[in-house]
Amino acid sequence: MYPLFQMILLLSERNCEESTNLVIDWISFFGADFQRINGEDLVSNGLVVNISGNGKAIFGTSNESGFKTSNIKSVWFRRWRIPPMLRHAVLLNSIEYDAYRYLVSEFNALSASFFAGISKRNWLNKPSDLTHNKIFVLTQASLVGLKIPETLICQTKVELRAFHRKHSGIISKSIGDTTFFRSENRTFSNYTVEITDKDIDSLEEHFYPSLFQSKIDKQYELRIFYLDGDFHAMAIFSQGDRQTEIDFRQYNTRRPNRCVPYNLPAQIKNLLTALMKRLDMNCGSIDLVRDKKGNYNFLEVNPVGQFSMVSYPCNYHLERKVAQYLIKQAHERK
Amino acid sequence: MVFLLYACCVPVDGARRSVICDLQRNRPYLIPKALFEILTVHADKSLPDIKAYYEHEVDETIDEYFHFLIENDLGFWTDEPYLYPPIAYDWESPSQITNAIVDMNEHSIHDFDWIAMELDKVGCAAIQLRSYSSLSLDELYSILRSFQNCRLRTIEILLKFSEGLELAALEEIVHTHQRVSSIYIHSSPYAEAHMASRTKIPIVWINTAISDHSFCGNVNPGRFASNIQMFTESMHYNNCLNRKISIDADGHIKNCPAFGKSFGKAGSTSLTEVICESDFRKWWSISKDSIDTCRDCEFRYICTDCRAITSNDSDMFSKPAKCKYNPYQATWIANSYSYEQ
Repeated sequence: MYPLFQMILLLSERNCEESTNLVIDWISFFGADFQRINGEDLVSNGLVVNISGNGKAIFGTSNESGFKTSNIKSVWFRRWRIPPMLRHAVLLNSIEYDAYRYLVSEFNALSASFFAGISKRNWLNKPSDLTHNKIFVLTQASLVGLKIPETLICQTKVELRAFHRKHSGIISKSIGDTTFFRSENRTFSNYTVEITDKDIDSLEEHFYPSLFQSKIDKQYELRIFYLDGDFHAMAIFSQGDRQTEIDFRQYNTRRPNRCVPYNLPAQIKNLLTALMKRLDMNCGSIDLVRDKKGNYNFLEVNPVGQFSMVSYPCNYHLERKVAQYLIKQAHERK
Repeated sequence: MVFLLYACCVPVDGARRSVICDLQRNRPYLIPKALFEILTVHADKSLPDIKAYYEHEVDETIDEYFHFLIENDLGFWTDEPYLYPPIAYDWESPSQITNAIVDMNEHSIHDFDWIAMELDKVGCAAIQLRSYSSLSLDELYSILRSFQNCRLRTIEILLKFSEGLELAALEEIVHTHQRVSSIYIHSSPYAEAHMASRTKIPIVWINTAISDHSFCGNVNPGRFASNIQMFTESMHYNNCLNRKISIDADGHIKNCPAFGKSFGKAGSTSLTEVICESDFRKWWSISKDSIDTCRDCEFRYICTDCRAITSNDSDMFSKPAKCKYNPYQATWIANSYSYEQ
């Protein structure tokens, strides 16, 4: 057993986060001590914050299952989201909607002060990783020498048509994060879609600012889990299946895309390492597309990506590797 | 250009024929031994070189083979085989015990709170509850409540038919206790298969009368599991008994309820101690490659073993008695299963 004070803190969310559960299984297997705090816990666990005159804000709870944020030796910032329980079916222009926005802003302020109270050392991902936007990351990627698809954000049909003419095909995806749209009995999500002439015809002259990219003549997609200098890559053969050729997340469950381990060329690893350093990010899921000419095209990096979808098919045991990384960090003498 | 199987499509050689285990789509594809040879011994050769190696006597057959592989999306042609490494075949788990069986009959007096606590200590991920007598809904709820706050991921339930167990009540159970992954009701006057409305968990009534553990240990193609966990565990360990612990209907702690040897009684002997005993662990490492006949069978890494009901009680390595397949002739004993494409 490791001494109790060498604590690993896992910041995560309550539901549908099996990666955190699996990493905890491994941390327990190795006998290390951990504490998991979900975003939801801040607003539902009897949280008490004492801000006294001694220059400290003490995060505790009114019951004994409280937080122990002292003596934390390593932190995994896995995920942190607006707790779903804050979300009500609210109407716009209603006082409830304003109240919801206020609760969200209070939650964000509370989270920020909570994070500030935790030792700055040994974080695997950190809250500011979430603030990088796609455009910034793309520009940084091109700066380090990675090939990126030509990208345009515009809001007029004329400009979009000109962009479309320039390329053999274009796609559209969100500028920021994808989201879920929940109706009473269905949930929708946004995917990457191809934009055709017909789609452009159906648009108004002016539309909401939207992101477009030249469509890559795809050989296969690569999903790479980057963990502090180590690469774990998987090729996804999403071509040849009309359902998945634009976005493999339109999963074909009957005949799933082939997903196999991949040896990333050293040169691409070097460029990606440079990018991650530039972004000051020590962990993330990187999306690349290899085109038919053999070029590697950088798409994006997600600090809180689903790495279990790489771990399982490739038998990479990434959850064990994350657990071991956190334990090693917790025991590093500095 | 060489042909590469996708890393998740793994060829396994048998005595008379071979198989490609598609570990992603959960399907074995039978292939002749000649194709196995092409895919392994001649994996680094181009098509013309392969044909030349066989002195152009079987060109058409070779074309047919590759057509079959492409048609079934088992591999692809590439000039860059070094980009696609094989899957590492190691197996590991953060659970000291991955799965447990608890048997019950009308005489059983299990303390499920104790069982849940002990299983949690060893990180048990899955449990199978098998009752040879009927249980009331109250009893079922009480058992499931014991497991409410532990790390188990899945609970499989097998129990005897009784009138009170209606579909709606069982649907409520799987909705309340979402770790329940299936409910099978045996000795039923009727056979019916349902999926619980919200959770899509199977709730199934079967005619088969089951009165004790001897119903288990079946070996047949319907039970093949062609996936990465099964495949890698089978390569290194016994795919039934590895990291398994059982409590029989009388409360004896065993490897399998059908085994004679007891390592103590539930409620007094700690499971953590039992799993350290070398006598208990000796079964874990008996992989298919060390079992008679199985070691020559093409299905060995996707077929669940049984060490309780074997062809020779005095031999730890004898073939499962309920297996009806002869790998040396590639035949299933008459009136058993056929598994041909």
